[in-house]
Amino acid sequence: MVPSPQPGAVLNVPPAPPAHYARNFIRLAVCELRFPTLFELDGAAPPVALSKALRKEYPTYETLKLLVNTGGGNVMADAHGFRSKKNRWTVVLRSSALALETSHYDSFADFEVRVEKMIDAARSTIDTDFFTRVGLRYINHLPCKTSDLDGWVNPELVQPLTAGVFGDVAQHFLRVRGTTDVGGYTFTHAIGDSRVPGAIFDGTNADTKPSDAVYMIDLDFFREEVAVGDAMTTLRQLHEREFALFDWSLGPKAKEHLGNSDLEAKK
Amino acid sequence: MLDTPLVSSQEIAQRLRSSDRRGHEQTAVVDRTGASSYGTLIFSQRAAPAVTLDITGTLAEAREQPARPEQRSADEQAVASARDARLQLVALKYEGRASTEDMARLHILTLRLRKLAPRVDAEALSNLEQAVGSIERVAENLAEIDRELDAL
Repeated sequence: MVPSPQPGAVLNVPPAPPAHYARNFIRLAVCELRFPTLFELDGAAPPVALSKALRKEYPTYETLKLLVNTGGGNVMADAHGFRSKKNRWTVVLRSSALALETSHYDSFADFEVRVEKMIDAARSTIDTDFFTRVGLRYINHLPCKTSDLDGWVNPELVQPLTAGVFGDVAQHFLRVRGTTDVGGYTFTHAIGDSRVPGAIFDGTNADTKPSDAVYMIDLDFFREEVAVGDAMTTLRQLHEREFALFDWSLGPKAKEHLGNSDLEAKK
Repeated sequence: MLDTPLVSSQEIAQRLRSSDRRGHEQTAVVDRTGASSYGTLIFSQRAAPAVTLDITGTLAEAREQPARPEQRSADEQAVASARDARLQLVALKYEGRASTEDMARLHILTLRLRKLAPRVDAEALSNLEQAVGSIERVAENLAEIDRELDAL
């Protein structure tokens, strides 16, 4: 660990009040629940109990052969995919993880309801009373040119870039890993690849075009060893801290683009 | 014979804390665009299930063999299932390929097998040794009685 001025310090950004904006930058939102491995879930057929429980909201089933990026490398994995109508939400079940992901995120309230239903549906299938890891990840793409970030991103993060110190860059990213009072986090802000959520843009790659570049704010908060009964409380805690860092990382133009929160309007 | 010492649920959590994974992983994002270029799965990372050779038997051989139980009991099935899964995980562990989730399931199965098929503990062994000792003393006494009767 790189020592900070205050050894043992955790993420320290101002708390942000709950908000629900008319617009958001979320390209992908994922909640991943890892559990002790069950090899029988690698089978060709999906677990019957889970299929029945999910059928109403996720009527489309498909088998998936996935390249899973776990941060420590890429791994091929078999998985069962359950999609909602219009393919906006997907439940993915692997031998050691259950995940809910969406590219049409609207509010945390909706998201947590779906996560809770997913956990209830899978409880008997996953045969465990604890999750080895609960992860909540938001990948945001800002609707601005990567050459014009001034005002969109907190200047404390991008000042040398916006000041032209680095000139025209083919690649730029900063990844921070640290701890919070409830677990850990990975914060990546970067020129990302708009084609692949979470991927870093690489201008030296002949397959990429300048138009693929997008400014990305990728927030991944997690907690390990969580009892199944505590998963939802943990999820809310992760979301609260994640939103605080997200809020801190934005500049005034980004906040203006988000608009007013209707949670404030209701007050 | 299980070689993993008895562990409690709390110890499972403690062992997981000592894992090398701490803080170095991200919430996985499914990369379907990357996967599509791989097409059909070429290989499996898991060990292939054991293949049993089944020799075509003759009617005479079938008549000679004692009838097998139609079905294992539920307990026997549970033990067999847990043991098979545990063996796969032990193999991964010793290959150095076991993930945190694999190790967690290994600990769960070890506990489960301890309950379903408990091994002989030190107390049971001691009781057996005492019983053997008693039997040997009784046998010695009987032998002594026989010698005295023979001498009469």
